[in-house]
Amino acid sequence: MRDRIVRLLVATLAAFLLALPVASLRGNSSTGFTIVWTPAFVTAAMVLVGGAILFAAVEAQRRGTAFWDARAATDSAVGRRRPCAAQAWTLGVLVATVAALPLLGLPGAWTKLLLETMVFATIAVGLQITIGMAGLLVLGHAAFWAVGAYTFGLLTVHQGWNFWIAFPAAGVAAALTGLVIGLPALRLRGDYLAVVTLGFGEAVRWVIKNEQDVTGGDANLPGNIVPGSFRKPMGALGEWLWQPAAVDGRTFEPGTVQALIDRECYWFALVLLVVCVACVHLLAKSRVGRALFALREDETAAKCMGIDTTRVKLVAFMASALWAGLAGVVPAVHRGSINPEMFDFNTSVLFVAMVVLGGLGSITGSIVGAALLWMLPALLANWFPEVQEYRYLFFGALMAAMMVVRPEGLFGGARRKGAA
Amino acid sequence: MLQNLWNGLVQGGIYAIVALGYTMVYGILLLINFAHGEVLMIGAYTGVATLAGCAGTGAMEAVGFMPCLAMAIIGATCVSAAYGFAIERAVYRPLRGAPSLSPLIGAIGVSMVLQNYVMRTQGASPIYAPMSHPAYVASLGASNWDIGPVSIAPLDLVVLVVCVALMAGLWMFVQRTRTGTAMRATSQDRVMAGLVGIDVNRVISVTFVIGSALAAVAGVLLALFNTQAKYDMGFTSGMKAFTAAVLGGIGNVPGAMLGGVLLGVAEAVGIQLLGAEYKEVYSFVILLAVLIVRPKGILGERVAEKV
Amino acid sequence: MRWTPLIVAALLAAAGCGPKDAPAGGAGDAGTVKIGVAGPVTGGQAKNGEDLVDGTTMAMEEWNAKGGVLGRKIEIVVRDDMADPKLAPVAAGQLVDQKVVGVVGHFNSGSTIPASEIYNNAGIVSITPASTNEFVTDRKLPLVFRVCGRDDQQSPAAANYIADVMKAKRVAIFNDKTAYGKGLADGVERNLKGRVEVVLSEGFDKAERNFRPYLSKLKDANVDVWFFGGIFEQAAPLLLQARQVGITAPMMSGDGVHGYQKDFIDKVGAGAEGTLTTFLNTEGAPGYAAFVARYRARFEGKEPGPYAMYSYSAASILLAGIEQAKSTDGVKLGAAIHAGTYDLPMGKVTFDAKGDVNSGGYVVWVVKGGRHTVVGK
Repeated sequence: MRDRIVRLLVATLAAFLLALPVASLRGNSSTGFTIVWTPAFVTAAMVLVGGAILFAAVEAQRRGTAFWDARAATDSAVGRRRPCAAQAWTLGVLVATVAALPLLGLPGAWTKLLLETMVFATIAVGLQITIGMAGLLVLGHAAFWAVGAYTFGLLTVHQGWNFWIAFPAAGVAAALTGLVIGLPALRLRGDYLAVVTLGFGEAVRWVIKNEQDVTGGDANLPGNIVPGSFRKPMGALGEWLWQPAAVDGRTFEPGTVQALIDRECYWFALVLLVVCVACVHLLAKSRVGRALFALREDETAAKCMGIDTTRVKLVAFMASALWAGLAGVVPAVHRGSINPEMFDFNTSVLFVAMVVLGGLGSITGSIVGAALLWMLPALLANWFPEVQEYRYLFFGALMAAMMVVRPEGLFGGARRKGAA
Repeated sequence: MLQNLWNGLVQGGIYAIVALGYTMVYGILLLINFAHGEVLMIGAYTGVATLAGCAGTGAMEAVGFMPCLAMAIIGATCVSAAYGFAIERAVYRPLRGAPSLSPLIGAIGVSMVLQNYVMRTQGASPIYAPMSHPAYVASLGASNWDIGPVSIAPLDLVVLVVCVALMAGLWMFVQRTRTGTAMRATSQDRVMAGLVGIDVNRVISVTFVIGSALAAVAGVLLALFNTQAKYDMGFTSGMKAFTAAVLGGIGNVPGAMLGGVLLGVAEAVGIQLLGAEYKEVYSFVILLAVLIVRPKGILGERVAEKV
Repeated sequence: MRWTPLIVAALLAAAGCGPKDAPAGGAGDAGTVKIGVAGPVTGGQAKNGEDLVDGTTMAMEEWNAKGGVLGRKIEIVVRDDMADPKLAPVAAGQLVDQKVVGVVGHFNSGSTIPASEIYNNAGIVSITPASTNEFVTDRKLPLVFRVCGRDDQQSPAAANYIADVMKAKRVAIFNDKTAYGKGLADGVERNLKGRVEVVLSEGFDKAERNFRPYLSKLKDANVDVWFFGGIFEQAAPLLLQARQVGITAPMMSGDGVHGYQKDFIDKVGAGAEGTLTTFLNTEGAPGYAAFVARYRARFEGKEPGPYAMYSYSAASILLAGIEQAKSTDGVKLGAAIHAGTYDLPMGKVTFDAKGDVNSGGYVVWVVKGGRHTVVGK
């Protein structure tokens, strides 16, 4: 106990000293140096509290009383057990509850937050195929999301396609993009692949940003058409599904349009997520899925076993791009407008963080990871509006601490060799 | 055209020093140190604050600009090295031996913390180097030298000289000293290095300290070059340097230098010839082209796969 | 799956007690009238956010001192978009959930365009004090207004000055590829067509800070004046570096660079002399001097930024509109503002059918002796 207190004190002192120069020292060309003490003390206090929590968690972990029982939660990890009837039943109840929430008077803020979380969860589960199963690190996954969103937006707005044709087209376009970027991946390994996908992601964003005449660039507009009209030209089915009373703008009832759109997108995103989870689950159990796991563990060995690594890698890339592309449709409809800045490198990193934090190879983990990483900053801002400027500081610290405490991710199984 | 070749060379020199930090850490830990850019940013802030303070207290008038710059660089180096050391101890060491993506996410967390921390404490607006100070104007702000079509600023020369000196120094350190030998041994095989009596933990700490110190120097130079330091400056530089390190063959010290310079030149020449619209795409195309021909980077060794 | 019941319970609980939608402002209850303020409160353009919040706060305090609107006190709810088009809809969504009656904001055109769409759909009036991109009001959304000018008024002003007053022969144009910067730069280029030769036109990222490659091209192009469509936080290092590489031609820019004494003119120092900007004629506005005096008194001698008065005006119009509409209902409020006339420090204000303000024209200012001075129309 004493030992730990001493370590904590040392850590605080170190943090204080470390924080001192950057936090307190102000150089000014007219007045010279000034020293402001408060920020350094605040930082030291934050580190003290954070350090105490971290130490407590590490100690708990060390004593074998891990606060989170991993085994119990990894039941649905891919490729483990066959889902039995009870599991299917509980899953059904879960999905039904989530689906019923908007009808039970879920506030608008929650609807939006959950809807966005489900979109991110869909993408994270899809990304699980490349990172979790095949062990290929992708740092440009947002590009596939962008391709899906813009394909959908441009087809519906510029070409006037029906929603139900444009929707799969978005997925197909993203999958084809996955094929294109998957080809160089055949030769590259580990971080070389990571940096190529990173560059690719940025390149896609720049193309969207620069081709303003087609994509609207930074101004959010699909061409020169009203962003809201993303929702208009979706044909009869789309109209029936998405078109509330009138979005003309002049004849609506105040406040109702956005609420309706939120709710309908919510259900759409939920269905998409459920289908995605089912597909990825089936993929994991299929021949291809097994081949992907083999690829992750040892590429050379997998090759020797007669696995066509080329084909399997391409399938992984295309499948995970497909889900990102399909998920791209939701923000296009829900937000009514899309912007290239939505698909920057930070977003790609966020996707990877969702997968890794949740646990490699675990579908449940990806969903929980998406929920944590997307909902937490928003909730923090909502719960503590006075200190909302500090939310990302806290969030980053929590992310690092969580990784230190559970390196294999929340739902990651026994330690395995990871990607890269 | 020649002017932009020169501009690219200078910018590439800065990329190269940052890339060295990435490549050294990667060589030993096989880890992408995503917080490296933030360490650079902290160095830049310390350096610019020192310079501005020197200008404000009158020290700069008394001793001239260059001693102040030296002091700023030394100060920034110390602070950044301390941060690098602390980050390794707090986040990467507990994660050693964990699945290789976990430290990556830890690093992203750290970089978020550092960025927001500096934004909160030093403000979101950029801080400017005292470049209108008479002492600066008298030394580095003096008029440019025109050599044919190329106009060379004194600052450019300082940047290049420091870059070359640092690279040479690092090369000597890695090749000639005992610690450098230990570093090379650790990067070849960490377990074996430990068995033959090398203190691996110490070597890793030293690597982080050196890498962070290099980043700090790059940060100060970059801040001078860009005239300002801002809390988010580490992100772009970090990403560029990471690309440069991979381009040259990650884990390879001369490769990082080559990659950095190549990237800087490619960008500047690309802007000159093809326009700025697709600046970020040029580096990607070059990267892709190089990696398709040489999947392990320009100078990356073709290591036989262990089966 | 033994966690399932727990998760189900948590979700149901969340439905009941999550982040609640605030009580409806339009219901006529005794609560406060909430006014949303959204803009870059933090980030590189925090100065703009400061003006926005200060101006709105001033309007709120003055109205509260008079007893509020419709007998209810006014409260402002601030949300940050960090000048990031990606975060603007998030901030907008939060304000909608807070059931604000109207919104002053956002600041940057790229943020205002998607956010105002959300407000309009939710039946909330939004008045932007600073977004000049044509598209903001060209969509003819009934609940979207702006109190500043438009880029298609601003860019001819800049182009006319370049062509007619400066009689420039060669011009270069840079932009920062944002909705605002690119829109403005494109407008200037369009207006210069056939009058002055545009020899160089480039766009770079808004995070770019090393401008030497572009400036080398600019130097080779040997222009009489160069236009930059962008924001002061990028214009300051751009101009500093331009002077370092020996470019002496003056820079011209728009309202994104005008009026940032501390963050632009003081930072660039002597290099800023001769810099041209287009901005509304604030000095000619009838109540400007009085407004500045009130602002300084309220904020302990702080200098108002260029858009402080417009933020104040936007908030005042919103509150006066509520008073006129005798309701906090968005549609009625929008109609009232369209019909109303407002006497403000910036002059008499009325709105046209699109929601654009019917007063004020752009004039060209030059930095002389470290201060912006009007030089001509």
